[in-house]
Amino acid sequence: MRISEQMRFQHLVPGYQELQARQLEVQRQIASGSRIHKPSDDVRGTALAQGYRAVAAELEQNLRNLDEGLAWTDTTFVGLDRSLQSIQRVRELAVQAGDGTLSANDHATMAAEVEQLLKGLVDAGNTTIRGQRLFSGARTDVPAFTATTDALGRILSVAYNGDASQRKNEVAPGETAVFGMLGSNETGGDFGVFRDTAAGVDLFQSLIDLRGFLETSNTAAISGTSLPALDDAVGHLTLGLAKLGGVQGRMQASTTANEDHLEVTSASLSKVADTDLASAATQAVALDTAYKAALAVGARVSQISLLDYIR
Amino acid sequence: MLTPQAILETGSRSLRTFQIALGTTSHNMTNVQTEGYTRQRVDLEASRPLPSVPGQLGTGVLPTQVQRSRVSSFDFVVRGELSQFGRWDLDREVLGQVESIFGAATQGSVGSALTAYWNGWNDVAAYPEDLGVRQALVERAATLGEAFRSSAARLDAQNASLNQSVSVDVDAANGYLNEIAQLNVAINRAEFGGNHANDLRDSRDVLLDKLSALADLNIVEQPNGMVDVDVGGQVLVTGPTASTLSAVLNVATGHMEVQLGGVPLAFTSGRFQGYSSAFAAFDATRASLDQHAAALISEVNTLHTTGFDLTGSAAGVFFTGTDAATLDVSAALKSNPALVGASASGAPGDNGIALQLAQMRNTKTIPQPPGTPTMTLNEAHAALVVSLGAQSRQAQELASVYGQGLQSAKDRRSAVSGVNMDEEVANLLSYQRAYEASARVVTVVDELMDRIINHMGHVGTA
Repeated sequence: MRISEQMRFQHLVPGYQELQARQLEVQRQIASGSRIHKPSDDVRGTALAQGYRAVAAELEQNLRNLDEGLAWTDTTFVGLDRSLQSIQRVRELAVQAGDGTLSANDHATMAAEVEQLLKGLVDAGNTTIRGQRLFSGARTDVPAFTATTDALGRILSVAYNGDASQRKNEVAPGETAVFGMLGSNETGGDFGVFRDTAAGVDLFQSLIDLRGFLETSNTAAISGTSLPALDDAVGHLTLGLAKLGGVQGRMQASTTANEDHLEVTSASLSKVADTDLASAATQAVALDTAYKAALAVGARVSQISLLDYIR
Repeated sequence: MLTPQAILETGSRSLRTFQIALGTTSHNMTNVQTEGYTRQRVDLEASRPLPSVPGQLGTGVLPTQVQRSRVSSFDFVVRGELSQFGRWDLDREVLGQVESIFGAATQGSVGSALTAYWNGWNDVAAYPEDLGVRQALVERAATLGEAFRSSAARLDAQNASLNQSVSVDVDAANGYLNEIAQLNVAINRAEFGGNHANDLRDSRDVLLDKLSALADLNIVEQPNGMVDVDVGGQVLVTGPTASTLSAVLNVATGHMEVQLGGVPLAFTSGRFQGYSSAFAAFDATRASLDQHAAALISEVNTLHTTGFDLTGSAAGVFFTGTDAATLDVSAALKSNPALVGASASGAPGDNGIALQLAQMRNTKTIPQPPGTPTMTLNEAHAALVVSLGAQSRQAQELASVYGQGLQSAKDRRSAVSGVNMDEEVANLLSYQRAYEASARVVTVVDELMDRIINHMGHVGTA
């Protein structure tokens, strides 16, 4: 093939530009740490990375949801535990009061203590997290329970202001966990902590009744009515704690599963989208050598000519 | 019988001939880097012999013609490749810009804004009573609106700049067409009587090459040396007359069209065809973006308006607008995030609507054409980005393929038509030697004449 002068240079310059472009690309990959700069760099990789990123973002969000949910159940646990201790103390008082050797004065003192414990129980029912009432269902803006008192400040009745909506959130793609507990299930729901119409448990009423029996020194009623009711209450709260433990266990399992899934997803994403530094650095060196060689050849290509050999 | 005068004539004719040859060689050497230059060569021929008794007597050398070393079929191949390369090179550039609007996964793109937006609803679901997380959701939704609007605006800006580019190319094409017509006239005149208008033809070939990058041309050379140029049967140049193309904005499509006499021209390759396919990619991208925005607006609002805000009142719309260019968060929500309708029951702690809106990320809301499954918004947007990437990749690869084809076609043409310096130097030397030899002939004849004139008829004189 005949070679023209223009051909020699027409091949050189695009060659340099191609090498420079590839050098720039590798440098960019190393500097930014990301292998794909624009979708056309790797169409399949872009598609995969988009999918992984969406999954990872959702998993991270689910993990945040679980954290919030666990904080909610931890606070619920505190409320339940406080209530259980109160009820157990009330039960001790009821046992003492029921043996019939105490005076009416003693009973009056006990009644005053039951009154205090009752107030504490109402407070436990109004436990808050970040200012929101835990046991009000979705009516977190109002106290779950309000007490009606007589002129002496004694609690006559306790009303539930919440609804039947239990707190829930997404814990895995498309999966919702219910972690809120209702103060009362009188408006619906399968479990009420302080008042459960299905189980026939009403902690407040049991304490109000006991206080009444103590004030009248009605030891028969204390042993016959209050003690069984309080036993039921202890059982009911214990059941509540067990349920809460179950919910927390499931949420922790979800957390672990999400973390595992997130780790795998992040690893896959990294494999697709991140620069492999070792191979990129090797490539950069190889390109550098190629570029130097091309420049050297280019500089020599027009050095020799017939003109060198004639006078 | 050849007289010394006749031999002198032979020598001086030879001197003139090799001057012409040397002149042509130097013309070649000085035009070594001239775009489109075709090397020229002088055809030499023995001049008409004299009849004589022993046989015909030679009278030396004559240049018959100076002509270009050019093979027209190579031009045909180069122009075909130029045309294809022009089309794909333009698409590579334009699609590269379009895909950069969406990026691989960059911050601020619609894809990442969409994910942040869904997460915002999850945060609201965790604490529906909290004004702070509601405000964060509204901000994220506003960012999403901004991402949609700026993508749409950047697409529109690209479209406008491409329209501008069509006008510029049409102006350039008109310039080429006019020059070709003028060169037709000049070549026709110069070649009258069998001459070769080598350099004029080079200029015209360069223009035809440039025009081929714009459109797929049919070029027919007439016996009178003029070329006729047409595109798909629409005549652009005939003899001394050039048509004028016009770039006209098609109001219905918003794209610039290339028209001839009010009728849109159809191209099959060249930059002008590249514009058509780039415009088609714009339209498809813009339509998808609008579809995604419209689906987001209607799906979210439908659900949101069934909810209740923090005060227990029925919630209004969440998004305003109808498409990607107008999508935004309702102004009422921006000023008061308490109006976000997270609650399904009206109770402030209820997160029913927030939860459903967060889970919409996995709801297949984008209907695709029959035969393909419907997609979630994230999937549909990812599909849009991937499809742009694939188109851009295809344009890059085809531009590279046709670029290589073009280079090799140009090489083949240059192998015949290009100047090789060593070759020219060798020619220079051989013509120089021939010139010197001819000069020697003249000197010899001069000595012969000197002998006859000054030294003959002097027998016995001093």
